[in-house]
Amino acid sequence: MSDPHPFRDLLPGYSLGILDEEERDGVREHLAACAACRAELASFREVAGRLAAAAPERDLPAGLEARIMRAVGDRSARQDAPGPRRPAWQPARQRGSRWPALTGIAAAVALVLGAGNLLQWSGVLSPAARGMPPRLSTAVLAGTASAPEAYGTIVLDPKDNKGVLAVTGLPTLDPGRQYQLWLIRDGQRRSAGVFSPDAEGYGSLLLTVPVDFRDFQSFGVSIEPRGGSPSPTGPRVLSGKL
Amino acid sequence: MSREETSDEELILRISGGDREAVRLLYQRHGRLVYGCALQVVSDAAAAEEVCQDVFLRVWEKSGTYQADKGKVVTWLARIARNRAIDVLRSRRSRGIIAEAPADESITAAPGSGADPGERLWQSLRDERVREAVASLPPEQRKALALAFFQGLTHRQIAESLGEPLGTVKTRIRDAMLKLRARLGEREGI
Repeated sequence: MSDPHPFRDLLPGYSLGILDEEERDGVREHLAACAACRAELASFREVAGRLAAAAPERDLPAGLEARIMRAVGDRSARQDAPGPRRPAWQPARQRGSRWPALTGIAAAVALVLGAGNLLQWSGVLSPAARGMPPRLSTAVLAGTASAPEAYGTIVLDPKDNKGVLAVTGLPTLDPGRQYQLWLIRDGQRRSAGVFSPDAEGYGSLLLTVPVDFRDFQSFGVSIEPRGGSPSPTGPRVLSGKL
Repeated sequence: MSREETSDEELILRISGGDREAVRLLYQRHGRLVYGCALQVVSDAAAAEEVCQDVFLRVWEKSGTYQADKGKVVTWLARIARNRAIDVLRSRRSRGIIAEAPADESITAAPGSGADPGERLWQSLRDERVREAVASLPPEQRKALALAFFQGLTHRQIAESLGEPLGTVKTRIRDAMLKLRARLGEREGI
């Protein structure tokens, strides 16, 4: 019987952020499906936190408090006015009337991303756990070395061959480039659209899958010239399997 | 409600609700630690200030990532500060501003002061229990962990820096973290 926790020995290094890219990708993928390793990781993160919190305190630079509060105010000003803050993930452009179900799902997915905690994903993303129709399928995307803080998820509805991608942690691109989502089947890549994240690195994309999505084995996101490319040309920033 | 009566967890909840003043209170309470934590890694006041600002902006925008059952607010803040500072350090390495894979002698900005620099950093820790837990580790584990924790070097870079086999370095760091978890957990319930 194979080891159910093949990455256990790497969890201390993962908690310190010192794994090589390949190891990190493997751990991330495993964590998305293994509650025991997520709990183990949390305990090592707490150790790392204790080490960090033991640092000697230093006198603060003059004016730093004011600068921080000004920056907080600036960020607030970019969000919707009064009442609860608009989550930074919320896409600026909505197509709710055309895709009411999926925009609801997008909100749920993006709420998860807003919470920003990978450790919560598997439970929260379970369709049953969120009252989503059980036919929905999800895929988790992990950041590569080009965007190590990025992650995202895709929710697909096979009934309509429609889905939504929500991502966070992506670096902002210059105006001449966009991120492009690829559906991968037997090594062949098919574009599922392009998107541009906001200043905080959040992005979303409503997509139509041309045939039954189950034919596709995995997904990837790459950096491409604005408008997209016929096939990937830039670095891959996210990848995941269905 | 006075500053003293408000717990860190309550402040985080208030921040989640859009209360900017709660950010100020959290900064006034923990800013010195966050700044000190960043300075310990980047050894540069201006960079540490940037890290400190990033940390509190992140708290403002992502307070929902805090999980009370996983640890205290202060360890969460400190870990964010350390990680952001390591990001800065790596960015400087990639831009050639500092050596790509520094030998452990360059681990601090205070060369020539005698003691092993990693040791000096460990000994500077403010929390006595943590300092004692680290001191209980074998010297080779402390050295490898210092390069990982304060420099953000990968297993491979540490192996190159120390001239040790990669597997040996991985084992040292894993064993060090396991021992620290056991030792700190004895009294803290990690």
